[in-house]
Amino acid sequence: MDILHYLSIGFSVALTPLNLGLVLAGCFIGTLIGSLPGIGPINGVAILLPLAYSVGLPPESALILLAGVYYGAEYGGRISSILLNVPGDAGAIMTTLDGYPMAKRGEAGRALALSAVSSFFGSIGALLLMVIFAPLLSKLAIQFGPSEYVWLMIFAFTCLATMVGKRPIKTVVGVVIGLLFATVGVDSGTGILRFTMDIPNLFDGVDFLVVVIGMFAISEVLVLLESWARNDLKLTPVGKSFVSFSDLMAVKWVVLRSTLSGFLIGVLPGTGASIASAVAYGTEKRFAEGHDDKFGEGDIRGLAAPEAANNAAAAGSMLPMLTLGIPGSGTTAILLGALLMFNITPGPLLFEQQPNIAWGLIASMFVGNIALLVLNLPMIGVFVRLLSIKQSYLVPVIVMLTFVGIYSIHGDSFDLFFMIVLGIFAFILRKLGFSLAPVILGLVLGEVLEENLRRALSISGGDWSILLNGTMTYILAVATVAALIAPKILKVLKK
Amino acid sequence: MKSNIASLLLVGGLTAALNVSAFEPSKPSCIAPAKPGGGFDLTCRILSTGFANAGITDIPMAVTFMPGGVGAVAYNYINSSAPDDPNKLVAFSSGSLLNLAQGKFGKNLDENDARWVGTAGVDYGAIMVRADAPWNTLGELVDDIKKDPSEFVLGAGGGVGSQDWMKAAILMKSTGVDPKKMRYVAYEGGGEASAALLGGHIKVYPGDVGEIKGLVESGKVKILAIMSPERLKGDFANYPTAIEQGYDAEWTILRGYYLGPKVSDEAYTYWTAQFQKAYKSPAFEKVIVDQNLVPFNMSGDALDSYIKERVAFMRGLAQEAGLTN
Amino acid sequence: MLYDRIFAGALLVLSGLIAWTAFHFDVPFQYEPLGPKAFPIILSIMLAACCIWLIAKPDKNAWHPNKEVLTKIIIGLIIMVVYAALFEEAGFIIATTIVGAIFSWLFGEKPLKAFLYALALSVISYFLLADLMELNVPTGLLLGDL
Repeated sequence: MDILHYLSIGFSVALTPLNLGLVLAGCFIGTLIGSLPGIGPINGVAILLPLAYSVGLPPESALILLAGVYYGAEYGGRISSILLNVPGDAGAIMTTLDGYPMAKRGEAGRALALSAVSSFFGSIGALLLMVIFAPLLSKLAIQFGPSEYVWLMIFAFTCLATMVGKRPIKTVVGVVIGLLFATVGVDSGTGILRFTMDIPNLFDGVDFLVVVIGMFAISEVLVLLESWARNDLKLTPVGKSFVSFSDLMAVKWVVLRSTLSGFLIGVLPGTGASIASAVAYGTEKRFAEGHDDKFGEGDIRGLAAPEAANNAAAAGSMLPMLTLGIPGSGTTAILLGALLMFNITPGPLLFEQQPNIAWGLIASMFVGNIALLVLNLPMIGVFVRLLSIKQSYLVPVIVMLTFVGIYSIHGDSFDLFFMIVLGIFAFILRKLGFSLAPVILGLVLGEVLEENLRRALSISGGDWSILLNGTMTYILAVATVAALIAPKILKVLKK
Repeated sequence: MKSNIASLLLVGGLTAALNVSAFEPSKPSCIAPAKPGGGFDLTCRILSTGFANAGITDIPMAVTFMPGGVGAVAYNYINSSAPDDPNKLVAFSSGSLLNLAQGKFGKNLDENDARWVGTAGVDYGAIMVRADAPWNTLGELVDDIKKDPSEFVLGAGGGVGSQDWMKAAILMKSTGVDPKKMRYVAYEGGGEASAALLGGHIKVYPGDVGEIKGLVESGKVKILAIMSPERLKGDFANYPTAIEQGYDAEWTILRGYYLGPKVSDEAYTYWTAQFQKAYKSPAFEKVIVDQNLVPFNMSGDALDSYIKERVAFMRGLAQEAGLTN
Repeated sequence: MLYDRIFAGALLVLSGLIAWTAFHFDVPFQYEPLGPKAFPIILSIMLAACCIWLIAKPDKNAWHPNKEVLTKIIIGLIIMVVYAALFEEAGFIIATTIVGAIFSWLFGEKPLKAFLYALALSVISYFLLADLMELNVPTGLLLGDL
């Protein structure tokens, strides 16, 4: 009853004409910003924050606007992943794996529509979970200690083991390179500098976006140049394909599972959309393995899983931010900063003391997601037409946006040169049959793994038994073993 | 170098007195040397909002970001690319000073490579435990820690040599326990550390007063001591300081701004004067208090020598702790 | 010569360098047994093992670049480096006009048309990105005083 009462307060805030207009505007602007390669939700929220503040919006309205931008940008991030093979932001990396192959065979419309629908269900599902389980989950999230994180990362790696291409060894090399990237910068435990070569720009480590954009966008431009030189650059066929009812039925369980896992991973502080989408993709590939595994060649399940998961994670990461004041991702950190600017201290009391803000935000996320779906489906035709733009017009735009996006993070040319070096490296990897996603995932998972393993050992004073201490570590350990052997058992059972 | 600056300042002060309108800012900006949303962002917003609200300047001040190494990237950038740009103020914190003292801003750069111009305010360390913890005073906690330091897990938002670690180390030192013997866990930022405290993964968290208001109000944590020289006013007036309880553990987090090392005296004097005007304005003070900081008004010359003194003090601390040679 | 072998050989040297560097990290003190050295050293050993395997069992070369492909790629790279160098110094509009025009030309546009397209693109984008979205876009030489 309580929940319904609070939700009705929330909707009465979210449905005022001003807030409704703001959430629509936020979603629209967010989609546009998110669809630009390299410019993602962080930029979107950071751009509009001072604006919302200086216009003098009331706090709940400002937050609703910013959350709309956040959601919109998460939505928009997949557009360039699918159409250009360049992820709009970190959470959209896995979307390239099956989304781009679909676009290449003329099913861009189908891919965009399916990903929009999966995202929608991912978000709505996560929001429902959030409303029902908020108090319980925020307690559970803080129970999650270093040992549990270590297991979660090991579990994520076993899920990834499915991503092996023709040469498993090449996937391992990719992951190890990514893990090594993660060690660059100030060591968070001892404060010493690792592999920074005295370059201050590397003190905080290699920036995640610089790696993603350098490796995907710059190498993509080089690939386009090669295809042009070989004269085999055909314009991608622009089919009038759209998502069908049978597509939706085919992915319904995929979306459900991915929403659940994505949401849970999003709730944990420190793990976000990129890890959630990787785990979802890996899990679904595991399920498909052995009978009809077309993952990586444009399988609709390989598209639906990461899309549902990354949006569910985006919603999930709001939970620790609102209930504990702990940001679960970079973007929620900015939202947290926004709250503080309005002199609102998030924390356990927010829901009781300022229900109009907490519940108004949640209600506006429901409204925002419906708005996004309604806004996005008709726009798919427009986006698909991007593919029919001549390369001589499109490539300068891609290059320009990548450079602006990367420059705007730190305001320093160093990142531009670094991005080009990474692009060359990625081009070589691609030409030698390595795939890029393992490198990026190694980078994401590596930092969390190393930090938490060392934290666990600091707590225990060097005693490794801390890794199997508590119910949750057992559950995760069993899940890891299950992920390793389940496909083999399934195979045996089928015979 | 030092005497040079002092004499420059003197001459600068004189010329400025003679010719007040010698410098006019154009497109001034505040560089926050971190990603949006963090403490440096807030420091810059205090400047832009505070100056605007106090009617100090009618030119809006933009906030730009230059993350990296608690300010190392911005410090290097200012020194190499814009040492004389009078329109770029950069936010700093005690964390930046601590890294400067340890030579982590680059081997050739020290506290003399900037002109420290004004402050936003200060914050203080606070020693927190979970609300259901058995200790109610710092003394009770220390007695238990002394029995077996390795049984007490402290955690905070930074690694060895960071500000958060320093707070833990100073606390240990004040109780006579070797900081190297404590059990310390480094988290990424105060948010993660407070989550670890609530989850029971760490037992003691030396955090900052400014960022824990919500947690304290919710009744989930309790403050055993505040690491300020004197009792705070307002919301935190009821909490005793560590010094009151007989432990010499003090940690002040200063937030402020610097200009490039070669910025003209006219510009330096101009900005100093702006800060002095701002300190007199209640509107500016309100912006500071709203961000949970305590006003700490110091600018120009006085600040410059204060900073140099602080960095020298920190250099001593770092050496003592075995962080530098 | 197989590309896989060259690449794996280079990575092998790199893994040695990483391990050597990590081994010499100067750590004041640490609170757990692993410290900052263990991870990089373990990873470099893993990388080295993988590389030795790849050198022993390389894939056949699947990439056959001809002269034209290599020229195009190298030109593309040089232009990007030029873009990175000009971006801050010359400013967004000038850099984007030059680089955009060359890219457009590389992909088969006539020089004049490529230039006009790049000019329009850079001016319009400048106002969209810098003024409307307030991104950190360098003004550079042109419009420096605006």
